Amino acid sequence: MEQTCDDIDEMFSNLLGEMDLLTQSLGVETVQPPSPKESNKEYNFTVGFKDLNESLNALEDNDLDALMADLVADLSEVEQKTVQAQKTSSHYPQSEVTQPSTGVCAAASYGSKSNVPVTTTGRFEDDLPPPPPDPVFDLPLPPPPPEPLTQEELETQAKTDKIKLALEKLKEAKVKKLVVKVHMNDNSSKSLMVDERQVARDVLDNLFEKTHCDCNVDWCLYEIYPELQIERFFEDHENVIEILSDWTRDSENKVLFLEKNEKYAVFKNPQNFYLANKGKNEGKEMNEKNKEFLLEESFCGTSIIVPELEGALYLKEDGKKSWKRRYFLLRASGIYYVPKGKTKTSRDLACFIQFENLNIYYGTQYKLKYKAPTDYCFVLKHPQIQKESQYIKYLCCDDQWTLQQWVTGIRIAKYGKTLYDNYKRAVQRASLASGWANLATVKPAVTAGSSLTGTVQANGQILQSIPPASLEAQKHTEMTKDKKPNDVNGCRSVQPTSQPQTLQNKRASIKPPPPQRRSSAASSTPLLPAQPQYGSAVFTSDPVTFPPPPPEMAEDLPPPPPPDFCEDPPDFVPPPPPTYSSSSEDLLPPPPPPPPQASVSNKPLPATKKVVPLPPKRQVNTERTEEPKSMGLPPSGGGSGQPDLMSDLMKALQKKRGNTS
Amino acid sequence: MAGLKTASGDYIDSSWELNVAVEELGPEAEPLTLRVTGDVHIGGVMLQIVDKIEVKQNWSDHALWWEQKKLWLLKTNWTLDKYGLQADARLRYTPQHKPVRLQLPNRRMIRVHASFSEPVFRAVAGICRVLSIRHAEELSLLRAPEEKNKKKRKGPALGTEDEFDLSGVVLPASAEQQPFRGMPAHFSDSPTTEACYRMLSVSWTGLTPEHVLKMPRPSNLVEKAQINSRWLSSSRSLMQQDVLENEQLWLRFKYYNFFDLEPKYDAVRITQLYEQARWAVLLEETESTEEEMMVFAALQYHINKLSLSADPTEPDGEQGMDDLDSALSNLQVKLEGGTSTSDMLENLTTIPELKDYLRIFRPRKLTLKGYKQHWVVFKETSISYYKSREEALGEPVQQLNLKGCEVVPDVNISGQKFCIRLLVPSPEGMSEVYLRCEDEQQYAHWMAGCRLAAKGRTMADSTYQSEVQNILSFLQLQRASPDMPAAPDAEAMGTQWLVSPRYQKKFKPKQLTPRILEAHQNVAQLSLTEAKMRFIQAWQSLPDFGISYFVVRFKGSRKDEILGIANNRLIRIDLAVGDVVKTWRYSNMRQWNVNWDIRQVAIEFDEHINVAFSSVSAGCNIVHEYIGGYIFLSTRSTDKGRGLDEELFYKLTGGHEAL
Repeated sequence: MEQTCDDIDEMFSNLLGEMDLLTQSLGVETVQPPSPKESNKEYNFTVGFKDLNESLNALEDNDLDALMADLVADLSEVEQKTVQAQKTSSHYPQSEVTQPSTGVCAAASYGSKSNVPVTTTGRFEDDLPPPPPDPVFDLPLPPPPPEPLTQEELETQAKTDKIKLALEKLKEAKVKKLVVKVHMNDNSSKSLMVDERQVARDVLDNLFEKTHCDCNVDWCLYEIYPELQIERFFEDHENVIEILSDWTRDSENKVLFLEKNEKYAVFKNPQNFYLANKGKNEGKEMNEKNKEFLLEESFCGTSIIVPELEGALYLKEDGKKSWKRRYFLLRASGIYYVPKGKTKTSRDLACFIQFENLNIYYGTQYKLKYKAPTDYCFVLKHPQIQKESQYIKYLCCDDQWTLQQWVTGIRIAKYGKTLYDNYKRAVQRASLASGWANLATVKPAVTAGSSLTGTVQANGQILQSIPPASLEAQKHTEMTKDKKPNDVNGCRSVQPTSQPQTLQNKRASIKPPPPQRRSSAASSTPLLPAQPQYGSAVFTSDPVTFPPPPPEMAEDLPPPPPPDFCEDPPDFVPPPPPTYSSSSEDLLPPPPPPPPQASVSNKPLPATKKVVPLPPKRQVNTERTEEPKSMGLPPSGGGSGQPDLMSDLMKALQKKRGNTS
Repeated sequence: MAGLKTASGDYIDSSWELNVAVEELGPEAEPLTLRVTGDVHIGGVMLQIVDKIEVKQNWSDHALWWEQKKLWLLKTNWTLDKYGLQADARLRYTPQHKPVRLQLPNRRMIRVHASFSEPVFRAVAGICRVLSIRHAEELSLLRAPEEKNKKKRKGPALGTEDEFDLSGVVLPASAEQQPFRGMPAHFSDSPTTEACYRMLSVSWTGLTPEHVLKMPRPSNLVEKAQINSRWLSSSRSLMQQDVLENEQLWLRFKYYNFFDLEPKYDAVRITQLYEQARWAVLLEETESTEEEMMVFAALQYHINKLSLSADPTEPDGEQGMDDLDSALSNLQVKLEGGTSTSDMLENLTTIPELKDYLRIFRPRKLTLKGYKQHWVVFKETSISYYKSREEALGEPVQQLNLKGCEVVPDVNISGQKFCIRLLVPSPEGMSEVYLRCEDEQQYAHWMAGCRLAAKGRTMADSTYQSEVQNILSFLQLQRASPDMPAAPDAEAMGTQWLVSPRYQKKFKPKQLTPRILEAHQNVAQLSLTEAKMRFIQAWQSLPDFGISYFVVRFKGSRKDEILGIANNRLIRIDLAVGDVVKTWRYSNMRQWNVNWDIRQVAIEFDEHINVAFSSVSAGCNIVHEYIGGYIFLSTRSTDKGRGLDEELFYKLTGGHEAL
């Protein structure tokens, strides 16, 4: 429950911010030399990343398009979240409902392909006649999902007031956003929105979506300071906006998106860093098991182990272009050096620097710039320092490998286990991507099919990387397809059973939907004949992740008079046995191609016990979707469920009271 | 029954006389003489003994000990013949559990009953059960050093005075110990045992610099190797190793591989581990740099301060609320409909500010200007200063955002100097600013504000007040003059005892205190357990951590060298210089053998690397057990329910005796 509330809070603030930005950028697009004062105003108080006026002006048309796409994608994601949130909020009650297994079987599989028009049944059908209003207008209205709970309370009034207040506050506390121009290694660049909560990992994921690169772990955001000739990769956990806000207004600094093997080299071949013998260059191979063991030992103990590292480095003397050779040692607590005439026992060491408030950078071409002995230099400085200063420390190594050892060692000492966690996450992301690549064969078909339906098809592109699951699901959706027309009961019970999709969606929402999503705004003009086909095509790609069908789909069901549908919901309270009533046949759209594998259908069902009706995807307006929930399925679904939740809570509270007294 | 004889008194069966000494009869008493035959069971012999003694007491813990063979005759169904026992055998009928005086890792003495008949591994497990220390396999027993230098430690040397007695404690039979009133049930019997539990789980606060100075400190690797010669063998019993009743032994963490440290269950274990770490740092058994020493000192100070008021029976931390409760209260907050946000907003509007006249000094090259009075306003994380109060509405002379800046105290109490040195980052570099306060109170408030601001927090932060208090109490430390005798109150004791003697000599108290204060600001918010854990972690990240040294001679080498044994590797170290010559990791180890005749350990690593050495400073069985012990510990699974494979331990560590 708590989770849900959080989600909702976040979602609302997201939504609010998104809307504002959307309207602005729409403005940007129309006024072609894009410098609308209003939108810029918005940005100006965010962060001094360059001049935002300027940066917006500098954007190319295609950049703007991309940005737009981004925004719309975000928007539709938010929509999706809203839908989800609603579902999750009604999720408890639903799960209480026990369903005859037979009914479930048909229904659940049905639900998973719920974007077929019928799935939504008549509940929402009231909404259909007027094409759904643009979500933007709906925004100010939505009462937060927790409301239904509070309504149960006595002082509903006071609480709704509070909620309104909270919403206003949320609106005020808008999330800081920045348009960041990221340079690709092919000299092109992409502009994307980064909000202040995003860490480098999120931005990378975003870029993965946009660039169709292989998503391997070596990709990183890389900052370059042309003035100081230093550069470094962002660690995946670093907050991007925070880093960028250290840059000065007129900064020439750049962010690049490129692959750097150094980033996670230590995790790929830990032996080179932990077991390397002095003077020896990159070592031998080691089997995976031993590597894992070594990493476990180094990063997962009570305290992490910093690689043993010591040796002579050149240190640039303050303000001079001369370099002095000193013997340095790396310890978890900092970098030390051996003072003249002393031994390298711990007690004699002098502290050179500690890592708090320091970043490590590579220095490039320092032979030229500072007469360094070699070009293998690294630099330690406070992140906020942007100009040459005596507080920047320059060090120079004899060779590339030594440089890499030091930089890596310092990163381990500074970031500790976080680095390893970052790596594990990156690996996970990469393997997801490769899994998805395997599905690539299916993908072309999808796009082809969806292109028929033009506007709507974008939905199908929520590219999910849950390969095996989606294949499974695909199978079973296909089988359900043929049942659907025959089975009214099944169709009805879809409402309770459509939860699987919610779950899937939740997973799906991790990744923002692709830009094309924006077209959904125009989706109110459906291509009727193509519709079924579209549905099936999309399913093959990835049915599970489908957003609930847009309301316009309801128009596909010409024969049934709407009232019929309206009456349905109350009826199906106890999910009826799977008797196939022929009446439903007319209601349904032309049956899709015959099901290839019907046998598979049963499998996914057990997992689908938590069931929630899927409101049509475009139901951004929470008010509207809530109505059906409370009215449409009062006895079985939301209605009965609510009390259940409350009684659970009461039980818990009583228990708590019992404990305390 | 043995002892058939003719009328003339000649025994006609093959019986013979067996002498058994019984301590309970007094030291001068003649040994009992029993008439036995070779096929009598040990159990039968013991029955006879008890009959003969005619003293009524519980004899169930007694067993027969064969002195010449150093053997417990514990298998009561074995016959004397099977044991190979004959008339010349000297037997003692003696308890299997005897009291010993244990010096704990925190250097306090305790009396406990230890098993003298089971292998030390088990005896330690028993002791640890009494002390409620989990994972007893990480600890072991050493002999106390011979006290040659007795004259040197006059007075109350640590580890000799007040003893705690746990020898009477009876453990509940069940393996699972139910905590009672916040401590293991067997401690709650009496006030004395409760005091004992406090001693075990709360670190001692009465330490003085003298205590540290009196402790023997190893000055080089060879001396560090000495201690390792005293470990008792884990696979033999105390009795077999000639340990006497009431002898002093040391209990220490032997293997530096601490498994699953869990504050919830490990109050005693963490405390004792912290104490062992603290002494290792103070006595420079594990060497550290000056900077690291300051962190250790700050942590010790912090732990000490918290320990003064600590109640061991109250679980530290916030696990009081169980999941349901927290979930519910969270839910309630949510149901209240955004009160949290509005609260937050109120907080935002009421961030405390500091405004005052301070003297400011900005060091610049070639400047002769000193401190100048300014009206200073500290708001959120920024400091703005104005020429005067009246101009505070206008533009400040300068505004400094302290986020990410370095805050260094520059305090001299006797000189009434209370300065805060700020290194404020800016794109151009760091700018240095000194704020000079009038008195302690003002200083403490501004200092606390600066520290929070450096971390990006405002004075609205809940930790602000405690930060102020911390600073004040630390200033108090400095106020205490060094020539005052050590007061019982640790607050007044100065900071000398927090660092090793080397740094005690190197720094004057008034130099030392500010440095510890500086380090303290990073740890001041830790809870007691967190601080101990942090200390242990910092100790573990020292390069020298966890290495046990032995003087050895490698095969084919003519000089003594040092072998370091750590939890994952063996290190060959040059004895004279202290440089690491070579490192071998256990993960590459194929096998190792001990040639008990020539007392040589031979190890084979991957790629046919063979290493052989004989131990000079300690028995080769100790080296063997150390290596085997680490390998044994690395086999421990994360599965908590699983017991230890004791057999495997003996196999890995025991050598030929065990087989």
